[in-house]
Amino acid sequence: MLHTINKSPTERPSLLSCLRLAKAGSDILLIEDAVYAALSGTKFAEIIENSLNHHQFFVLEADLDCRGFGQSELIDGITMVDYTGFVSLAVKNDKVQAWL
Amino acid sequence: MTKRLMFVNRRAPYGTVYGMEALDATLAASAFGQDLSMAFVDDGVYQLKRNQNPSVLGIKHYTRTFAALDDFGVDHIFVEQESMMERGLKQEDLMEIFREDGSDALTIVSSSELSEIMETQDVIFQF
Amino acid sequence: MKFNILVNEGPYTHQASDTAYHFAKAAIDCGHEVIRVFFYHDGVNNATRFASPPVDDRDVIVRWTQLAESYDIDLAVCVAASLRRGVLGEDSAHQLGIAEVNLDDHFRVAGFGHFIEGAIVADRTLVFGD
Repeated sequence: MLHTINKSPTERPSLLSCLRLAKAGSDILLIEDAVYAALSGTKFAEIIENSLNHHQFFVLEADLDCRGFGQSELIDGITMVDYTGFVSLAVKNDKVQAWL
Repeated sequence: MTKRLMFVNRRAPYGTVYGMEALDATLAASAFGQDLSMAFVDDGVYQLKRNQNPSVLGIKHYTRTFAALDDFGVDHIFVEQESMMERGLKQEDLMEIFREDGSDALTIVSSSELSEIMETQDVIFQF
Repeated sequence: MKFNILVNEGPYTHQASDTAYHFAKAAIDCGHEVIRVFFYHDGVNNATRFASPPVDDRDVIVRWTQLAESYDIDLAVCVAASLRRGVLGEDSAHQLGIAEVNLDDHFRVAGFGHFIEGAIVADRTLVFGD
């Protein structure tokens, strides 16, 4: 399953809820305001770092770029994708669950 | 082919329209003879609280319709235990929902149980 | 692969409609098919023909209509959600005795069941909302 999250982790618990309910091995894509969760140095970074063994994390490049951040500010191990990459993730996984 | 469709409620009732429109969506889905279930996670568990009285604000008491979900082919209603605990809610705080045969339609499940159940779905709609 | 898409938010309040559009376009560019985009909740406001955004901003509604025209995508708004919010097609306006139709004619009014039907037929369903 592909999980998409679109909320900043400091605004809503969507990231934590997703991590609680996502099975190990599923992919997680951070879009819209959830791209802030992909940055190193936030209080959520450690939670994501500890989850990197169970999930592959992706972040939507346009949403990151749009908000003034880039590759160098990402937590190591998070992969940047464009919309084509988003489509590929949706195709590769058997279903997509949006954590709003 | 029958698909397994799950409607996941993560919002509290009344503050926003999502809970009510998620129910409308679930009822609309009942016409298609699919395998339907609902899950309540995060603030969504507040939708199941007993003794709601939205009439004081003139808002539709949509959560009453949960009692009829069995008639609409919603076989299972799952409530995530961790979300209840985070909010200090106990089973007796929640409304009772029965199937036609008298069995309890509401099942309290752990995160890991719900995670497994979600994995077996074909489509998951979150509201 | 067949995609079925749900948009739950209005065009200029939330990014959901933008993300849904860019995803749909990328899916089509990759050779996939978008069978339906269904607009629910405030998402029905993506279908009003009177929207007049300033020239320095994107025109979300025109973007959807151009995509639908180019690739024959079914754009559907939920009947109950659109009635609640005063987004009226010809039939609803006529029934309510309202002279003006504000639903853009690239969109049709449909029951939420059409989205469910899309989810049954499609290989993947994606929800974009708040």
